[in-house]
Amino acid sequence: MSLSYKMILWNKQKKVYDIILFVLMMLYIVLFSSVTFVINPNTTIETLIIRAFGTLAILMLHIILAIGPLSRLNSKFLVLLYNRRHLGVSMFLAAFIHGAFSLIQFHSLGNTNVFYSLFTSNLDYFSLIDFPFQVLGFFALMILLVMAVTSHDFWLHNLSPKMWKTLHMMVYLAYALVMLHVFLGAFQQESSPFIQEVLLVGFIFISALHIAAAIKEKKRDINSLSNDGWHYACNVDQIPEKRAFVISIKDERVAIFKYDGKLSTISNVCKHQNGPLGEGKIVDGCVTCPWHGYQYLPAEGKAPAPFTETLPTYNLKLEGVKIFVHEHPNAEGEYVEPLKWG
Amino acid sequence: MIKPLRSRHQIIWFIMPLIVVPLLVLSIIQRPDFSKNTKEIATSTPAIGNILKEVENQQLKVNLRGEDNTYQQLEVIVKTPIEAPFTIVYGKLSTGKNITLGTIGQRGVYRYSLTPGQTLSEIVLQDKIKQTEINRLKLK
Ligand code: HEM
Ligand code: FES
Repeated sequence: MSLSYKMILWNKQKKVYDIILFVLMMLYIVLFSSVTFVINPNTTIETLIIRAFGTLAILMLHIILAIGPLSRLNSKFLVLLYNRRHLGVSMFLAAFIHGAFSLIQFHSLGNTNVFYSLFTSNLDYFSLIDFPFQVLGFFALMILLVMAVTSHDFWLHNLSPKMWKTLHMMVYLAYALVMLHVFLGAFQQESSPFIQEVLLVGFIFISALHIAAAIKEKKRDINSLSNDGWHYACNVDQIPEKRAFVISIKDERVAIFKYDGKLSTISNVCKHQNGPLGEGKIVDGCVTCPWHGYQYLPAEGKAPAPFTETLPTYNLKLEGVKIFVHEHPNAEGEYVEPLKWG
Repeated sequence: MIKPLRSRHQIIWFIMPLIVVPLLVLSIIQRPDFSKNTKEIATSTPAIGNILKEVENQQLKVNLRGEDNTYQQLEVIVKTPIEAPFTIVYGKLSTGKNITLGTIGQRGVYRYSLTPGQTLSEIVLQDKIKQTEINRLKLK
């Protein structure tokens, strides 16, 4: 990725996105408050804040969880993926306001410590109906806190992308905890009307999206067959100009790019967060990751200076119009002369 | 994503719905209906019949109302405010079973309908947040 692209265009776009996000969140709070006051004018301001921010957080969590599978299913949604991180941090802030106000309202009135009260005021862990639902919310909030704190790329590099991804998959656990928090809470608290029904539909929708994306991906993971280490991929005319064809060789996905009458092959897995490079385009001579825009030179598998990321390259051969890829990856960043055709 | 990560996602999303959806459905089915007997409705609910029985303590006065010796309504008068933000009134039937009557809060008159034939032996006020008992009154 070029520096100027990162510094100017990127940040400006992000700022606009952040402003829109903030305005939409405030709009939700105002709308929720108005509807609540019409339905139940006796609602206290504390209860209103707790409910408005709790429901806002869970709505945002659904949007966040939908973006991943949606962009696997349709590349139009990739724009949302660029900025998912800010959505996540904002969602944490909304959940934090909800949790903090709940702790103040329900646990700070006695003479015990707030957290002591949270964990000891209800010990019915074996009852479904009286289950201490607030404790579930607390653990979900702690997971979201760790994720929000480590969301910066600084942590991605320090923890290694693998560790970071594993950590951030905890969002699914947080999601399940929050769902149970709301559902078990409904036995003990009057909640917003229909919230359980809406959330049940939301949960089924999110699960269905993930399962649909998983099925689609599974098909792509079928390994290609080898003939002396060479794997047939596709015909030259099957790859659109400046795009790639992806095949799976021994459980590793590989992307064959076609550009300016040339063919080059690199690993499909972006060094940033393992984004699918083969779904990106060649922009200014560089393979550009569809997730956050990291760039690589296709023949070298190297990010253009001053960046340092490198990827394994692969050897190619042509038989007529048929493209074959050799199963042994070259070293990361090793130059392979592009194949010319036509 | 790389293959092991994809597999992990797949496992999570095939298993999680199987656990979470039944729990969610169960809690929707069993969710108590707090709206039936809240104060806004209770005050507009007119008293039924005559007072057949009264019991009282420092905080509460409880009247069992009805006609022809059948109890049809429980009237709870809160004399000193209940400070817990969310309190529920339970009735203990003479059979030993507990029934949820509804919510209760500030000072005022709360009326809860009873199924004719049900005999309450005791009512219990419970702070649902802290899961502690606030008050208890025997009706016999
Ligand atoms: C320290 C952590 C938390 C505490 C102490 C807590 C406490 C509570 C309480 C007391 C309620 C019932 C409030 C009422 O209906 O008046 C509630 C409901 C709710 N909570 Fe939490 N919560 C926590 C974390 C979370 C998190 C992390 C989320 C979501 C990301 C969340 C989402 C919700 C939602 C959607 C409701 C239902 C709102 C409604 O009934 O209108 N909570 N929570
Ligand atoms: S995964 Fe973030 S840029 Fe490729």
